[in-house]
Amino acid sequence: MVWFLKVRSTIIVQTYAQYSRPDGGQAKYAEFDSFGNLYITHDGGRWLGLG
Amino acid sequence: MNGQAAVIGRYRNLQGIFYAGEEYDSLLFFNDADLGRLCKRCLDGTTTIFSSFSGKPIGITLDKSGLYGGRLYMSVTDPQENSSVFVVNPDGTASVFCSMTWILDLEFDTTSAGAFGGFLYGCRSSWAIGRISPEGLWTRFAFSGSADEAIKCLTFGPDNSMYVIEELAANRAVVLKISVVPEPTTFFLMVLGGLVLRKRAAG
Repeated sequence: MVWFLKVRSTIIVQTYAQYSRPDGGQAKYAEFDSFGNLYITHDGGRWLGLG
Repeated sequence: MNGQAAVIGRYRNLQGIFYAGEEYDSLLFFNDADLGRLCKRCLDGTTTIFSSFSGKPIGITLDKSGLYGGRLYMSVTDPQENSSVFVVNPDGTASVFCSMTWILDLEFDTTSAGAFGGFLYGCRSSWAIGRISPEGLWTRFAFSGSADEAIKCLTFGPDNSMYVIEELAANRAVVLKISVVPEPTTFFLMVLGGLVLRKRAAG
């Protein structure tokens, strides 16, 4: 016998961090490293690391 | 690796950068957004144009699971704010996979638990996140009424959550963490089902 279960889920949105954009530049790209640090690049070549 | 850095090229608006898999010769790809180009960095140190687009390429990501054919996917936006997600083949040819207004970043669910179903996700500047099926259909996944605040980047964290950057006024920005959790009723049914199966196996 095969059982099928439709999984209902809830989406939770939380604030993880807040920051000032370097020189007001727009965020371009975000990626985590393997240690769980988040890096965000911005217009003008600035990047920001969130540990 | 000695940590030294060297300039390999200068571009006016470098948007995405990506190491592609074996099908793409394991090379470095990046978007030269203002010129509408997807470029590749070759092993001999030269950079060539891999694909050209009439709009501005923004997001770039690779399907590593094979659910989407193991191809590169890119979001491209034209001046009229029409966006398309293109699928880019290993020979550089590209075709429209999904169309929607103002898609910015793209990312596959890379969580180890497959918490987001292994699907391709995109964010739009008008505070909306969508799930794009392997057939190229956009389904709204999360959205907000505050369309004035733009979402710029989308990525997945090691904690099986999705993260997006929301840009606010006065040069402020917020990193939002988006998690998917089973509803209590479903969780209860899963536990109950597990207990029933265990009892049957024991009996």
